[in-house]
Amino acid sequence: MAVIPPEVGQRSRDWDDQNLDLTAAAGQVSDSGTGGFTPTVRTAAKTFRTAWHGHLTTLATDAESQADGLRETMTDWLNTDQSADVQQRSLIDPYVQEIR
Amino acid sequence: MRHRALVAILTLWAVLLAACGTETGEEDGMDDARRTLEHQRTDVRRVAADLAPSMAAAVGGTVTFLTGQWSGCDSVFPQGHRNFRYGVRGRIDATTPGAAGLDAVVASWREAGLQVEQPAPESSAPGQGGTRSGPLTRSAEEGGVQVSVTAYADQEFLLIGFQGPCVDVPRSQREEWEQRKEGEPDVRLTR
Amino acid sequence: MTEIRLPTEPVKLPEFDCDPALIEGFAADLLAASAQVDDLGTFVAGSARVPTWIGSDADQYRTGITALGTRADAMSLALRGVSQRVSLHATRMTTYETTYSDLKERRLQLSIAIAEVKGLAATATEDQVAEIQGKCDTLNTRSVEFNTDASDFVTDVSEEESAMVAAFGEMQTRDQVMKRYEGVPDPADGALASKPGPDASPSAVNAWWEGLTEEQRQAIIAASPGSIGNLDGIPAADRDAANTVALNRDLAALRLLEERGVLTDSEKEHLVNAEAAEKGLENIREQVDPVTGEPILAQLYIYDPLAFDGDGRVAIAAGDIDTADNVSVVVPGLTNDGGSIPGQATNAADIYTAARYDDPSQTNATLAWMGYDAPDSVPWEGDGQGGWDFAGVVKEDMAERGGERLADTVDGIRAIREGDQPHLTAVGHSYGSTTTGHAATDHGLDVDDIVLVGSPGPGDAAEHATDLGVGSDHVWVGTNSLDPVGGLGDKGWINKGNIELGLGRDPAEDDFGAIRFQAEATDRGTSLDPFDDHSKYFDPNTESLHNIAEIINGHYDDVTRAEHKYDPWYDSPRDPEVWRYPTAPKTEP
Repeated sequence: MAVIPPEVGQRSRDWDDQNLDLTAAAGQVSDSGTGGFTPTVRTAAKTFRTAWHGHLTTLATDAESQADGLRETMTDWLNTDQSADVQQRSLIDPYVQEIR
Repeated sequence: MRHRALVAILTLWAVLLAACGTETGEEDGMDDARRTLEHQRTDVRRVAADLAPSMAAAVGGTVTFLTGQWSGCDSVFPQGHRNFRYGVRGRIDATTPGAAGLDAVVASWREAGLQVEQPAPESSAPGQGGTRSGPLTRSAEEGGVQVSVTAYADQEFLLIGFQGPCVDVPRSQREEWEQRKEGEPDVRLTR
Repeated sequence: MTEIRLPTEPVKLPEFDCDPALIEGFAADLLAASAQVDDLGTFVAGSARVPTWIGSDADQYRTGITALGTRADAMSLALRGVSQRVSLHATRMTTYETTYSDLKERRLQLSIAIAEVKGLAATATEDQVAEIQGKCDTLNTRSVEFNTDASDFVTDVSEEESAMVAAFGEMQTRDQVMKRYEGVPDPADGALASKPGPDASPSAVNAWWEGLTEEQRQAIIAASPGSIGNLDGIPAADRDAANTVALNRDLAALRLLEERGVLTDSEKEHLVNAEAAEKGLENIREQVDPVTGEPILAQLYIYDPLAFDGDGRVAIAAGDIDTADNVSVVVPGLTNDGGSIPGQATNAADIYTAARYDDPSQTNATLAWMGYDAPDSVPWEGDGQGGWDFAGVVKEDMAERGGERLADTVDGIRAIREGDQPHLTAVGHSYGSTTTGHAATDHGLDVDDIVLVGSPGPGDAAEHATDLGVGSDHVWVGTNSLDPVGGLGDKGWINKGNIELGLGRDPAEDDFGAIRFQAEATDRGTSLDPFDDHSKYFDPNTESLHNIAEIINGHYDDVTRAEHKYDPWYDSPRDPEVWRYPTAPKTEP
């Protein structure tokens, strides 16, 4: 089985951060006030806001899936490839747990 | 060495200040300050609403905006301000601007029974050679509210102001008053 | 009896209720979200690919994220496009608001006039008919014109509303987004590729920026705000737009982490600095220009919340740096973290107001510049209780480094005002005056006037006002006679000042050769805290603020001069200002 470099562990954290940032962006869009528009436009703005909250949440979920996928790959590697040396394993080990 | 002596005195001063119970009566003071300032806002808005139209009429003009806001008076940096006041500002686009407009407004104040203050004395500073026609201001007092008008030789408008006296607020309230906002709009008689 | 033809009645105007500022806020939120999505695209195209990882798992991972990156790029462009359309909508609605207001006023005047003329017509005698008919005809013409304008207004608003609704509708679903933007290159990418290197002069940066298309500029602001937000040579309005995107994005992301209780210590500092910047902008916008009654324009000129080990680097302007007749840069002494920017912003707004009040015919901008790393502790600002904080001897090293940054900032302003130079004034307070001094003596600070207030000294390289490079008649000093910090500087060969706390010569002394202006406060010496007299220089209705406003406006003859301090060989230094009765000139309506 191919060796997994420690950068993969760091990228899993980066994907977690992307998830958080995109979740924040989704919240920012859904919380944005539409009260400034005239009634004619307000309805369309609300519909747009709802749709984009969905798109951004999906992107956030996809980012989280990437993080989870990398963690799964790292866990598999640690569990199955016993030939890897201790140092390589110790570099990956801290990343298999999700921090946030 | 003289500065070292000054430093020692000032340090002692600061220690005494800390020991003298800076929080004494803080609870009572909080309510008093809030009450006083909120009353002040009511008074200032009332005086502004009463007087702005007659001031505008005196110079054949219209009040183009009138907006109220809280402001700090004396800094205690970096903690913001020690005291606050409420003020309303506005502008009169006048057919009689400049010094003549100023006189007309002052006459209207006298007619309304306001106590008109004497113009501020010239500074006694040396090297004073003002040649420009800077702002001309006059002030009066109405029910504890300072009313002012400012005119310019080269502008077709007068600036008007109404403000209450500075009120000390307890240290724990400074942040609140720094950030205090009013509902929108504050005071808008005309637009 | 001849019949009088009465004028047409003006039509009733429909309700028109909108708030362009809120619409602009909606656009800003979309833009910040678009920047976040753009980051995802950049991440996927760059570091997320992990080239050092090889094997089938790695290949599968990279294939998967490529599709995600393509979608992110398209969605970012779509959101940006809608944001820009919403921003345009806000601009147009602002215009329509003014039109509506004018129409309402015209209708009111017409209605009054028509009612009057109807009254006259009802009681007219035969010999009055011709005159009244004339009035009716004039009013009829005005009324018909009004009705045409009202109809045009309704049509214009309706068309704009339809266009905005269509723009929302055309970019609603993922299919719509991908159909329109999949594979479309971001205009920002090509433009950034031609960006001058890090050592480029502000003039070179300005030339690059001006050479871009409007579309490219807007793309960079949205997609890569960090690349130009703090770059000298970029116009202030564009820096503000970019930094606002970055600030909004930071606030949304960090507040979510705070809500979830997972903020790290450095993120906590980051959030404190971001919220301080937000508050600083609010502090300025809450104040109204005394002449126009409009909220004062605020510009986020520097936003670098992670600089200086988390202390942050922030600068906020009250007024428009790109166009103001007079630009002043205020250099504070206490900048140990970006959290103090709200107070500095309030000072900037007070200075702006004082300058506008002093001379409404000139436009102004005042920049609260916290662009350097100041000491975490200086003795007169250390303990917050008014006591000296003996953290150690005050050094000039941070002022020296800060001086270079200040000179760079001023060079940036000069570059963006090429061909339309403002009157530029640097105002240094406290340790900031030492920083200003070093900017002048070490880096040729390119300003017209230098103002030093509450100064412990302008640095060891300034023996005389002429050393500051602007001419001694353009070096201005304000020192409250009871300000303990103002007495720290060196007075000459007999009185060496406080060698541990002073930072060069006392600039208020006669031998220094600057112009001293009046800066006493009417309540000087009345506080239990003697350091209060060190922090009143920017307070409204003070001699100091009034004189600073006069200098900023270039009204040198109207600055009220003060007698210098002097140091007789036989005794301690004297300050004649102690004996003068302070005044309180108005600096605001």
